[in-house]
Amino acid sequence: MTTTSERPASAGRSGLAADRARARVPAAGLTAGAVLAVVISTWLTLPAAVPGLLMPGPIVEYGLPVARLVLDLAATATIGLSLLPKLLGFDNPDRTEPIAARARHWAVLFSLIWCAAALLSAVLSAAEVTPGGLPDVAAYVDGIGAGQGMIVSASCALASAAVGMLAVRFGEKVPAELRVLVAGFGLLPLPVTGHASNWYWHDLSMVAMELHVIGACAWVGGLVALAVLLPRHRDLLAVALPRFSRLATYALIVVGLSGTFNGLVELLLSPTESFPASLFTTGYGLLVVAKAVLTAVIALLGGNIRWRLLPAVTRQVPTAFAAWAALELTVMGLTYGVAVALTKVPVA
Amino acid sequence: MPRRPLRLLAAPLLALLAVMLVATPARAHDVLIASDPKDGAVLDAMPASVTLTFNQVVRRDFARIAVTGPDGAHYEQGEVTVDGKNASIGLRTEAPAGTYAIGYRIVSNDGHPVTGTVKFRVEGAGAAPGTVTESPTPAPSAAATGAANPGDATTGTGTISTGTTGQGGGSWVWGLLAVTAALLALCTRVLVRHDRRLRDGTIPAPTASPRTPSATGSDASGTSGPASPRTAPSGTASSAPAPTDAKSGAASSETSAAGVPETGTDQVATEHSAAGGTGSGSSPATGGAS
Repeated sequence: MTTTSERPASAGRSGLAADRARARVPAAGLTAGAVLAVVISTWLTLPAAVPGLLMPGPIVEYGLPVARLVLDLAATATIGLSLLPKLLGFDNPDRTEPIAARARHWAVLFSLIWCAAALLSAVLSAAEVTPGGLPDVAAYVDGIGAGQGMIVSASCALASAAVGMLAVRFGEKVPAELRVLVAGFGLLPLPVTGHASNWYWHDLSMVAMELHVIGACAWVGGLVALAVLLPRHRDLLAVALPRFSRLATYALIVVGLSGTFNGLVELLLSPTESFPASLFTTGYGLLVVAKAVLTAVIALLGGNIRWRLLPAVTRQVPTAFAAWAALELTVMGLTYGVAVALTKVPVA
Repeated sequence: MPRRPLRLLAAPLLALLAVMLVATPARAHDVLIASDPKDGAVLDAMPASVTLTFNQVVRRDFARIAVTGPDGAHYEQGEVTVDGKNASIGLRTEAPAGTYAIGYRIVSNDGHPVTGTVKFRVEGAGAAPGTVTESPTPAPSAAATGAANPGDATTGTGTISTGTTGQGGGSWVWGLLAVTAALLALCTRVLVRHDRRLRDGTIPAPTASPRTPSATGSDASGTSGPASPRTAPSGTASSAPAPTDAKSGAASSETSAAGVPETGTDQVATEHSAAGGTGSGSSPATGGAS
């Protein structure tokens, strides 16, 4: 990395270590925000103890949302790292190849984490419905669609790791499209594990949810890939950030619309709660409001990067891109945590 | 060119539309909409059974209902019966007056457990109020054992689930889990080893400097058809002018990959040997090139 022009040659080993530590800040912000939000939201929405019935222990109550969060974050990272070659472009392979090689390497690792988290989620979900006993994973997967969704997602993650390993071996000859496609397939079963409504336009709401997940993964994953791998390479950032910015704009529209649609539909169709009040009286409604507010904050932060930083980035002037991206990613992490809690909370 | 990321997203979207059109079974969170007796009802006598009504059809498996009396004992008896949207369970009628709590947990169609409590009150029941003398022993077939403290997960009640849900004939899942976990461990090991080699410098990371001439060379010979602008990461193209440099790379690693144990016919296992071959196979080749 010392070959990059921005870095003064005097930057020794300590400088490299500091650089590496700084590169981890955006990822750490995303993870910390997500864990914080998921623990708080889960704690706030824990179901009350039921007299006469065993309740799942804290390992399951908190472990399942955290496992699901790890799954989501690993899947997001896989998608983002697979997208990175497309953002970098292929005009200047000598400059992009070292970055792309690292991205390929990390994509395999995150696919494996994704797979492990999906399997763990399946086991914990089974434990949640049969508290007090051994988790009957077989019956859960056999009988419930969510269990099958987890297994399918794990399989796709494994396939993504396989393709990723081919990419580690053969480089960009394994097309980025293929890698994104395989990983994207692994995202499709995930909304099934949340709740979709049971109404006439059920299919529409499922499609909206799929769009929501894919849009969020491309958006957050793309930004985390840029923020971790590119801040020290101003020339590459100048190329990649405008492309990502366009992608992020579309992702914001898709994610915002589909999320609003789904949240309101769930609340409107709840048989026991009346709508406008349920936004603030039910745990589900509060989480929807929290997510909407966080998304608005992300949009503001994204707008800041888009309108204030982007012109300077394209001129390859030093900017505070990494810091702003880390802040935006932390808010995104909070949103992810709330989203995980939202998939589990009963609507009424 | 700049519109590429968008086109890239179109592929998964089309795929998902195809998936959506094929099958989308209804999955949603079940909600309790009514109960008999109602929440907060005051009854003259203990009813023969309680019925909970949900907004959609209830799954039979995993459904549990417990009725806890004022003395903390269980008053339900028999099995949970499910009929469409209703789930019900019988009650023992010789019961003292007082407040009873119906606790339920069903698993909705989206796989999430739905729990809740409905309370009702019995006044002047068949048994005289307060005569709890014949402390009701928990019925043997009751869904929950007589653990008075419901939150205590350590009481030995592990047999509940197996008794009512059965094994469901899905034991293949366990085998699948074990195989996948083994594969995961294998992949991680390969990856970590590759990473360590990369850091140690046994495999030089595909850096930019030595590859510029080789990339143009392979372009000139026009070997790697559509992938030519993307330039091979390893220097095999220049060292071996074979028609497909990918093939040659694999061939060169063949010999060294023999040491890797061939683990079955699984897809990832072959990847493992390929990736393992990367480390040991390409290191002499690239080492010779630089």
